[in-house]
Amino acid sequence: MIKKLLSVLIPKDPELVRAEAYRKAIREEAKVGGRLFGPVPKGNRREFFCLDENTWVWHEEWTDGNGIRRVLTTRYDVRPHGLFKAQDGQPYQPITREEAAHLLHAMRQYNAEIDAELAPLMAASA
Amino acid sequence: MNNNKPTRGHERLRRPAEEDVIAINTRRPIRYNAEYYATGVIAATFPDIFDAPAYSPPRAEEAMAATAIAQTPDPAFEQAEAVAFAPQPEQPLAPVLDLNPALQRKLAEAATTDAYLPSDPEAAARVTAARDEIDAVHAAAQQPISATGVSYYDQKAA
Repeated sequence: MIKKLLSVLIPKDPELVRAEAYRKAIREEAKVGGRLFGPVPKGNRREFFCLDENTWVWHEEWTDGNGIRRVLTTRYDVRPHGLFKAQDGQPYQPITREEAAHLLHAMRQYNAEIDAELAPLMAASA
Repeated sequence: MNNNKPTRGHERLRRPAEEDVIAINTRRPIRYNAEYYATGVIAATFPDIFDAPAYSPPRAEEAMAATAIAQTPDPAFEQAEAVAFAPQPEQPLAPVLDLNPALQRKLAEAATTDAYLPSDPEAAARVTAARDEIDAVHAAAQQPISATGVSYYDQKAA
């Protein structure tokens, strides 16, 4: 309660505000990205987003047939010599042609969908 | 019955906060550069993907241009790559090596132009922007990327 009150009374550091806004932007992008691959089953969580200019992340959470919660995070690293992926501590491996094609589609759709979602918001800010 | 109750269609979109607009505008070039770089690398690795009808000639030309950029030797990248691909690195990755090469270059540029800050507003703005960008990426990478609480750096170090 006191913490909440103080947060209202004491202005936040502008840098912290900017950093939080940046993280929020990525979180929102991740939600849009998660919807690119079709409906997400109830109870599952899916995120797909661009972390930086060389990194894309896919995160999936689901409950398996034995009721155990599963989590899988895949990171795609774009390197000068190829596109590599790493999954949950496994070594890097180059992606296949089929996966590269899917990723390419996903990246383009990701940017298009995010721009479409943001267009009204940015128009309101103009 | 209140017939004046506004419907969704009549609701005005709330004006976003300034920091949100800045964040969105910061993210946009990063998103598109990421797509551009990946397109170039994919075009170099699997050129036949671009033979599909879905890709118009301009897209293919863009891809080839991006390939040239992506294949330009980059010592900073090579260094980071050497660490990332080491079979069993004896030392954990330092965060600075995780920083992508474009930002590393900006960091280096910021360091060298620092002396001109007082007299050169353009350089000062460039340095500030580069530092903000680097800070933002670091901040994002330190945050949990999902409900698991694992951050990008945690994964890199794992």
